Amino acid sequence: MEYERVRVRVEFEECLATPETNKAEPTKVSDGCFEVDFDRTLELDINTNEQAVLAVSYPAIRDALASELSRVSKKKSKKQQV
Amino acid sequence: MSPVPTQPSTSYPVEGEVGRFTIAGHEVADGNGGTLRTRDLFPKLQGRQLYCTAGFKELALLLGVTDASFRKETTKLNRLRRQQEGGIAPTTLRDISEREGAKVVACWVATAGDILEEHGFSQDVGSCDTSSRADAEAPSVAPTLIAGEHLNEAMATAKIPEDLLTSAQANPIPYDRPEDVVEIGVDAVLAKKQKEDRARSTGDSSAAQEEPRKATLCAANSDQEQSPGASTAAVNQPAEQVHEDRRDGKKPRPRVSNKVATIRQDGQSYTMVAATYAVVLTFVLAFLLRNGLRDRAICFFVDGERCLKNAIMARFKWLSSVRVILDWHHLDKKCGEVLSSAIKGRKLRNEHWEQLKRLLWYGAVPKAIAYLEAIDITQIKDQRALQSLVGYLKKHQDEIPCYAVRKQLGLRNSSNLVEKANDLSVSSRQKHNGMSWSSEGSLGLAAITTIRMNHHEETWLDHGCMPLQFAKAA
Repeated sequence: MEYERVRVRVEFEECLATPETNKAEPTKVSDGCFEVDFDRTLELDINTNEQAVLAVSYPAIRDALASELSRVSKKKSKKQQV
Repeated sequence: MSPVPTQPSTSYPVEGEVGRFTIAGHEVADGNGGTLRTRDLFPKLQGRQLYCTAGFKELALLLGVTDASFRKETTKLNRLRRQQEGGIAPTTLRDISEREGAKVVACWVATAGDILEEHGFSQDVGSCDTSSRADAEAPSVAPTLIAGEHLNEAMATAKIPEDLLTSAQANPIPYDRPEDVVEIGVDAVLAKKQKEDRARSTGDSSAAQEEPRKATLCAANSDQEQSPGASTAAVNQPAEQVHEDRRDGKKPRPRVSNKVATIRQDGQSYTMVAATYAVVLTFVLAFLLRNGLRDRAICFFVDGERCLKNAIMARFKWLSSVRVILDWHHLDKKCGEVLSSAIKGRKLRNEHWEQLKRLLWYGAVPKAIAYLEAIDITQIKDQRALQSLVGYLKKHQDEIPCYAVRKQLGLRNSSNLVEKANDLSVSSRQKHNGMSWSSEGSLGLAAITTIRMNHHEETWLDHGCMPLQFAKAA
């Protein structure tokens, strides 16, 4: 049987940025990932961590759904063409 | 929040539990000079419509707008979905709920049409004349009635006064065994109608904020006093009503009217809504046929609206065991209200009201009429009002049972099952200060609410169908 598998991994990494260059809002970067930055002094703040993960997850999920459905529909159209 | 974005014709907009997103589209040559659009692989959308996922419908409609205002729900949704920019707008959510509600009603219409056709009726829901089916579809076995020893025992326990015993025994409404009865409540529920165009306020806000209950009573009274000739038209009247019998001279606010029916049997209940009595009663008929309940005693509980009785009999007279029971609370209230207008002084009014209640509780309608007609002329303030009460009792004579005996037998005397359904499906959400509704919006929201009330959430979200069945049986 053939299946579609969905995999998700949320990563936290330390980074350097200035107040002008940090990603305060979820931003899609060149490798297709979504990133958001928060002040490292809040790394133990549960609320900040939760909100950051949720804030970056939803746009990522929407983007993944839109891309995948677009890809699959294109594939299906091509099959129909054949 | 932004309006629905305009996308290239090939893209496909989705309103999902995770937020709003757009599936980019492609056009692929089909090899015959034409093109295949990837958009066509998804369910068809019209105009600027978005595809709403089942998760979105559950969150925004079933668990959302049925409880809170569109504005509040929009704010909550956009917050939950982390989409403050480019999220859903209140007007879009309202349109979606209106469309979804219309789908629920359309589903009932289609299902009822199929059921009626299966049983040989006209498929035209709303104008279903069942009189011609009397022979073919009449129940094979009539439900057993309570009689003999059991009935005598109940009459004894009901402590019927000596002078009313003969009247109570002569009451024409028979007593069915409670386990054989299918209880059906049918009623209209009103909400303020939205103005077609909103003129700038000139400070006359009092009329717009009048108590909905007051107008509802006013409307109910006007409905109850319709002449029999007007009844047929009222059954099919649209869901908009303007009531012009206010005594304070103020122009009444138009109302939208939804008709609600609740069926209860063996501890299960099912609620339906429609714009007219004709349609909702056809749903009821289809429900009874689908669930094999036509051989039971079918007992309608009504509030005295004349056109309702006619509508019920037009559809159900071919069944031998149909009863129409006038709700005790409405009867009592009606007597109190009319006597207030008719009799001089509160003390006298209360004395006559007590006497009348006593007679009617034991089903002695002819005695009640005679009692009213014998009231001393010197005590009467308004003879016409008194005559109207006599007329009311004569009209509803065959709907007034011996309530005392019914109570002893465990039979229902009240239409509270549908009053509760009214509260849940319409009043609790739609009757608040400052709220006004279009006919479609009001009915749509009520219809969505019934999905939850009938416990058909999964069936609706997964299959888009509302079976005319109790949830356990579906």
